[in-house]
Amino acid sequence: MSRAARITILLLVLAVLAGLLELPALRTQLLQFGREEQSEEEARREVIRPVPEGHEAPKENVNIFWLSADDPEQLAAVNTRLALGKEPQERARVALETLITGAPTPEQRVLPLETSLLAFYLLPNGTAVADFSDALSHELPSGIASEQLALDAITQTLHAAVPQVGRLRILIDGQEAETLAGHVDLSGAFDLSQMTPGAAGPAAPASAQTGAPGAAPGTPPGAAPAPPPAPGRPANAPGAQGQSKPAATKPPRRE
Amino acid sequence: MAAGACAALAALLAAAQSTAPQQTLPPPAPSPSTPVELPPIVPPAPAITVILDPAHGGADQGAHSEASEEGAVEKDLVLTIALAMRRELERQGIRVILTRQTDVDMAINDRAAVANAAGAGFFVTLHIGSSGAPNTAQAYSFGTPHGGAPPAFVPRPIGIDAVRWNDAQSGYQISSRRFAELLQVELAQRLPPSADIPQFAEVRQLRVVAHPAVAIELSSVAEEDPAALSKTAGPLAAALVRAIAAFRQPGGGRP
Repeated sequence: MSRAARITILLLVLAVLAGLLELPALRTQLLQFGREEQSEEEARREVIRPVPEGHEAPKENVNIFWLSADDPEQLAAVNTRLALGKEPQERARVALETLITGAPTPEQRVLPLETSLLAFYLLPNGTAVADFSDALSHELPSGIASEQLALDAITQTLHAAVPQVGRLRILIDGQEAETLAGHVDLSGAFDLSQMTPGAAGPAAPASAQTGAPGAAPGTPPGAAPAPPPAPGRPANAPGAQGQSKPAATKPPRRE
Repeated sequence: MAAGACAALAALLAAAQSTAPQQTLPPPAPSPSTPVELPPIVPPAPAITVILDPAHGGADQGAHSEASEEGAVEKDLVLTIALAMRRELERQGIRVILTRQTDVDMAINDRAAVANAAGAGFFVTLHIGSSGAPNTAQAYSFGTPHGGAPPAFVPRPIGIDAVRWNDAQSGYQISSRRFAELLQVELAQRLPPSADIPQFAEVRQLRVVAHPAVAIELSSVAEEDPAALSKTAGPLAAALVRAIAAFRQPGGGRP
């Protein structure tokens, strides 16, 4: 082998060695680039991902408002054992995630399963801002009744889990929206301060444990099937197990 | 000679009477002792105005039948019903204004602008839900279900004699509720098994209207033959006429 050939081989070996040394750094950069490709929404979802089951927060009973098993035109409170935590943001997130994904039966779902709670803030003045993904608008059955039911489920569940929320502003995909899905007004904030805990409102009896929500008009019987479970989503929300039976009494229709 | 002159004068007078324009003399002033019977002056009754709002339109189809690709859609059905209702109402001497007469997508505020420019009247926005007992109708007036009858919002003074656009309904909530109650009673009779009492809902379209205003949601596009809903136009128009008549009775508009 000539001297020139040996030098060439040596140089090639050196180049390969240098490449091998650089490879981990390149791999790290590639992974980082991939992460930056994540959508803003995905990033937000990661931030607010539900706290896994079994974290330190003790479980407590809270009313979650789904469609009544007896009358799909009404909401019914289901006393549910959840690890809500102490912080209002955490409590709201666990309760609302449970409302979306943890209904006892698919027929009792009141919000589309595809919905995500993208963010939740509580301002010092008691006004809360809940930012839902646009599935809440697009996947909800169209109509005044179904939209009002969805809104009532959100406000009543939130009020039961986080009583210090005085007013609620709902955003869709980070934006102010004129309506929820074409009918119900989202342009202002909803006053939760007049609601009695876990019940419908001032006019409702104070038997909060049975729910007695404000009895929205709603999705009448026989139709508007709940959306099928989305693949990849957990069948139950965190802590959804341990639910008691739905409130036996049918909530009164609101005047 | 004198006889000839007299004859000529008589002929001249006769000719003058036949050709001269008739002069009307003012009627003699009535003497105080004999009063003249004049026909009673009946002012024309002010026409009742109904502003009918067929919801959705254009790209906004509203609720649609899941049964088939070519199933009925809410925007077409409500327009058909509203046009038929207009014929019925006009036959009863009611002035009808439609917010849209063709398949166009109108913004909620544009519809309200048509209504608010119409002078005194009754506003009815027509919807069809995606579920519910077939051929029933539910009336809604603006209001939060949690607050019940108390106003959901309080007009904020802005220093001049005007009302904020978003507060347009604030002065009409009680009369809208009364109108909805009267209307729902009629709907229950004509379209059984519709409910006896109206509901509150935070319908954006009602919030920005400065009239006694209700939303009517018919059920539903999920029926086997949604086009049959167009037959509800007659009962709807009859219910409206009766409700308006009851509302205009002395004390009828008061709760």
